[in-house]
Amino acid sequence: MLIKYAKKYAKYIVGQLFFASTWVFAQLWIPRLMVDIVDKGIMLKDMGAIIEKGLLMLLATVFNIVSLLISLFFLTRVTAGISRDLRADLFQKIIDWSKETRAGFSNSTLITRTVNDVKQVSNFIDLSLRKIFTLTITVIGALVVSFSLDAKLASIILIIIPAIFLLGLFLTTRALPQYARIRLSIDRINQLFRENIRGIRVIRAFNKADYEVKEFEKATQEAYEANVKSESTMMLLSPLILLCTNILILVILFLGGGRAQVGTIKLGVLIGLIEYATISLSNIQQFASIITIIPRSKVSIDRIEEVLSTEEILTIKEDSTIPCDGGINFKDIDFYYPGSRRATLRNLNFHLAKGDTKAIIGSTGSGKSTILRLLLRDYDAYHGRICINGNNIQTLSREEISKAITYIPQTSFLFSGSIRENIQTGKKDATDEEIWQALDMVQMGDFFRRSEKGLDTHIAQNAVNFSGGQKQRISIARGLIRESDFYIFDDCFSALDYSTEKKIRGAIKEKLKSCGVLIVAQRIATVREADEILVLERGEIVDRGSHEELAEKSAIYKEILASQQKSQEGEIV
Amino acid sequence: MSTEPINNKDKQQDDLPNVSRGVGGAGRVSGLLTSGSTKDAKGTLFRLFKNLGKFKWLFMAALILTLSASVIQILIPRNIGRIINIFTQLLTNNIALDWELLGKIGLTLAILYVFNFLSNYISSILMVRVSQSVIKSLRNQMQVKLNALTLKYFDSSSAGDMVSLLSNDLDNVANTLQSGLTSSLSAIVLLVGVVIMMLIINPVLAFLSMVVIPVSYYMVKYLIKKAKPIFQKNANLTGVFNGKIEEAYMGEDIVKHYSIGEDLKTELSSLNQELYDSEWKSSLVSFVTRPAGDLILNSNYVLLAIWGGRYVINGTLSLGGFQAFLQYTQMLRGPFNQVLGIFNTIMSALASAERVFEFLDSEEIVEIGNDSMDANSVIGEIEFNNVDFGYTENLLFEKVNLKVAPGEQVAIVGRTGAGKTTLVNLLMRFYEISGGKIYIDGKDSKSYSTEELRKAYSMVLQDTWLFSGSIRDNIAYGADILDYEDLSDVDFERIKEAARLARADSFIECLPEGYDTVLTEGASNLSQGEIQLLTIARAMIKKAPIIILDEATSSVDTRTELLIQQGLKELAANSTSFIIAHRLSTIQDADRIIVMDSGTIVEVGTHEELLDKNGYYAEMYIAGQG
Repeated sequence: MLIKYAKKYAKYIVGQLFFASTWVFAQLWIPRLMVDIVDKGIMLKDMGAIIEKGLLMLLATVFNIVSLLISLFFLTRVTAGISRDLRADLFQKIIDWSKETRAGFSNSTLITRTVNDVKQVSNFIDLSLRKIFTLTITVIGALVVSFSLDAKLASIILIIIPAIFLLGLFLTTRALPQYARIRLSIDRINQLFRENIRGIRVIRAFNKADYEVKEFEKATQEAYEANVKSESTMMLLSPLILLCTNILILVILFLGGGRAQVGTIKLGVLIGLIEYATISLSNIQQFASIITIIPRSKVSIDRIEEVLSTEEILTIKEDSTIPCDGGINFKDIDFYYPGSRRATLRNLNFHLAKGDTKAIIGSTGSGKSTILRLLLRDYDAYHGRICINGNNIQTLSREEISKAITYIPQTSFLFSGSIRENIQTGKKDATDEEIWQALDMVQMGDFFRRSEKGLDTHIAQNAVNFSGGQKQRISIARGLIRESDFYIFDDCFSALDYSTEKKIRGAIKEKLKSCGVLIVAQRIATVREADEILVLERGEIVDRGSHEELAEKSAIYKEILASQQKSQEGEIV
Repeated sequence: MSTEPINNKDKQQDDLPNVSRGVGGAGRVSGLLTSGSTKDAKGTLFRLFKNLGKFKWLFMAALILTLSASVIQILIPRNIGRIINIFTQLLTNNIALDWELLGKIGLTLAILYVFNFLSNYISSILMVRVSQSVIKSLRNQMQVKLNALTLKYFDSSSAGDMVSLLSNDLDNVANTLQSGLTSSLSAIVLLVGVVIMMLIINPVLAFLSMVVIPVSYYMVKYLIKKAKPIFQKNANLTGVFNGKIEEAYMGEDIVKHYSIGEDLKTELSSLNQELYDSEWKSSLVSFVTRPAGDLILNSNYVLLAIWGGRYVINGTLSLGGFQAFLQYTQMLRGPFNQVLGIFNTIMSALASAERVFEFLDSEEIVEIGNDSMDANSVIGEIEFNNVDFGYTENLLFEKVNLKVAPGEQVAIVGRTGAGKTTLVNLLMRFYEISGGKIYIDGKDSKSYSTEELRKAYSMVLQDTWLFSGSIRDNIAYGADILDYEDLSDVDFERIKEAARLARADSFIECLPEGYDTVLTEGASNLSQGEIQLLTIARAMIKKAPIIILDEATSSVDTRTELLIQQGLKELAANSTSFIIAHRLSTIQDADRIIVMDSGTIVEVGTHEELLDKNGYYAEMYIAGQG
């Protein structure tokens, strides 16, 4: 997957790799010059040679740094670029997903994937381009130079390198599962602690402090064991490689000494070999420790890929059957939520014409909101047929549906930004006058007129600076400013007091005279004036009729009425 | 050749000076610029040491081993220099190799190497154990503390701060303990040792090699300072972008059904582009500081090579000394940067430790009573006698009196802030009263410990809280379990029965996984009404003589609410119950209704009596907004 993304930056990557190579070259050149300083300068007592080689060394140093900077310049563009592209592809895809497609992903995991996982991948790219590449060619380069200096001694280095590498790999792979364990246990510790704070009253009310302590100690013990286990392994790596390096140097020195006695090796070469051996081994060591990031990145890459490869389930279909009547039509609808064993809706039939107002009432979990979800085409996986203005909704695009239907949701989500911007979410080019009108309809006009900044009043993230009722009203206004044939209200009056609700309903009735209105509610007062009320119980319409009819014949409706009526007697009539 | 454990070494080569790179990296920069402040560094240090407990000696051993490893480290280049010198003698003066001497030096070196390895490894293993044990113990102490703190503490502090104590501050202490301390110690020893060795070899060269280090340090520091605005900008942009993403995902209903997806994508794309720009810049800048510092150090190294070469030629320096000197120069680099950072590291760890200790020292609940309670024999008579209470200095309750008969169903109504929940808080002794007495079955409730007292109550709190775990376990949580038992030991039939009484069974059975459905943190996969039904089920599984429902059904429809009340009667016909409701409609059948306003009980009576009275209750009732 990453290769696909990297292609776009091929030029930068080539540039980066090229300059990283020249950087390594300069890095390796410096000890080589040192060899010459010793053998051609110091040993021959030639000060001129020392200065000459010294200046070359200075040049190499500058060259080294310049190469590094240029390669970093390319590298940062690649990593930032790929991050950008991944993020873009992710949010473009996710925003377009229907609820049904999105069912397997919670909001928080989607946010994590777009933000944290992309960051992890970017770290991974950074390390592979910057470290893994340079480490590899450094080791190879050091070996090549060593061989050019003295093939016999260099072969000792060559032998020990794979051994060290395998050792590092062995230790790292042993420690890796522990890292996952550490992460999980730390997450668990933080989660338990957070929950303990949040639930402190419940914990005390149920005398569960001892239980919580027990659970927490399990988690901290787990973290302890995983840490000790992984670190005991990983801590071995560095000293062990150091030991190998040192022994290797000793061996080179002694073998070299024997050779020096017979005059087949120069002192500078010996010093140089020691230097290259050190460089090789320390690079190998780093290499082994970098490998730990790979499995972690793999998880992130997989999680991103999972999103990118999830294709939208809901497509625009062809429908050859005879068109239905106008208005909104539900015909023989059965619906199971994906994975659920029990039907959420069963044998549902109803029709809503323009100019009509219908209401759905029922208990928590009776399937009221689900009806609206199907109407909005959040899910396709139902049996039966749903039509809007004569068209099967499965043949309509999301834009066409949203043009025909205005949905006012149960949870009033507002965007951070001004109140004007929020209302304009409903109608892009709404004028201030129209916005004031909409706000007046929901009894919020005066509130904002009194506020210092008027329509520029800021709404914070999650609208924390507004009460539940105010949020609902703004959300209703945002819906009312739209122009469509049908308006559906999903229990969105619940946080309003009766008198405000009554006023708002009056305004809505006036404005939406010629439209089809569908109201979902728990309160009798909210549904009472509808032309027809559908009583929903466990996914089935058990009774239907006007308020008066239902109050007469429907057992459930009567129960609901009884539970509310007493307090509302003086109120609704 | 350097002896630091691998993790520090990596840090040095990569991350020092403490500037991070990549997305959101700027967050870490602030760590460098703000060192912690401690009020009582010595006291904190002492206390931390005390927390080592039985690990004290392991800790000392680890420090001594680190010390010895560093000393060995210093001796190594010197000995290699000696070998080189012997070779030089051979090559320049044609003196035959003294294999015996060489063997001796070689053996010394080999022994040094092995000791170096052992002390390094053993000290790091010891340190891991010591630091992890300390952290484990501190973590456990913190959690135990949570359960001992007064609720006032929770009211006045933010959960985020407390979690940050556990996750950030303790982590900081752990890291410093585990590697920071030993590597700092070894850095100091190396620094001093290396400087001494260099001075012995050649004072002039030694001086030359040290002059340049502070220059490079300040240059890096200067660059970091310059880079700060770039990091800050990147951090801000990252925050803005993430916030926008969050909204775009959370507001999916509006985004989809109001067809604003395309506009949103355009907006996000331009933000994403800006973020790209600031991201590569800030990561480039963070990379650059290090090589910039290296440039100076490397140039200096070259100078030393030339200068030293001259000394060797004119005989003031041996070739072995020359080689050893250059090695020492390299060795100096890491520790020098580290030593400069040590003070900050240790101070910030101490500041963290101090914050943790401060938390551990916060005021705890003082238990006076220690009578035990037999919940089965409690009949549930409650009396408030001249109770005074206030969350702050100002009293909310003054001389409150109330008597509730066994088995009575009492409803408490009143506007927000009237003190309904406070009444319940005092019953449960979440807060201690400052005057008067609360009697349960005629006995002062303070004569019991809070744990014993709460055995008599089953409660649904206004604040719905479920832990992340299965629905089954969440309901089982209400049941009394023994120490050795787990939530899964609670009889499944009991759980189902409680769910049925709370009318939660039908929605639970609709869920794909039924009772095994795992709730995410904050139970975001359920609706508010469903969450409330679960909290009620959790209370229903505990059969207690006194039941409290604090706005337990505010998000549940009225019909279900009545059904739940029926369930309650079925469960505990003889229990005394307190019901706080926000809807007047559902409590009209209560034996008694208590009307509260700003901490006082203003009216008491049945629904009809109160209506006839035509007072506060009647007014609330007419307004219909309980």
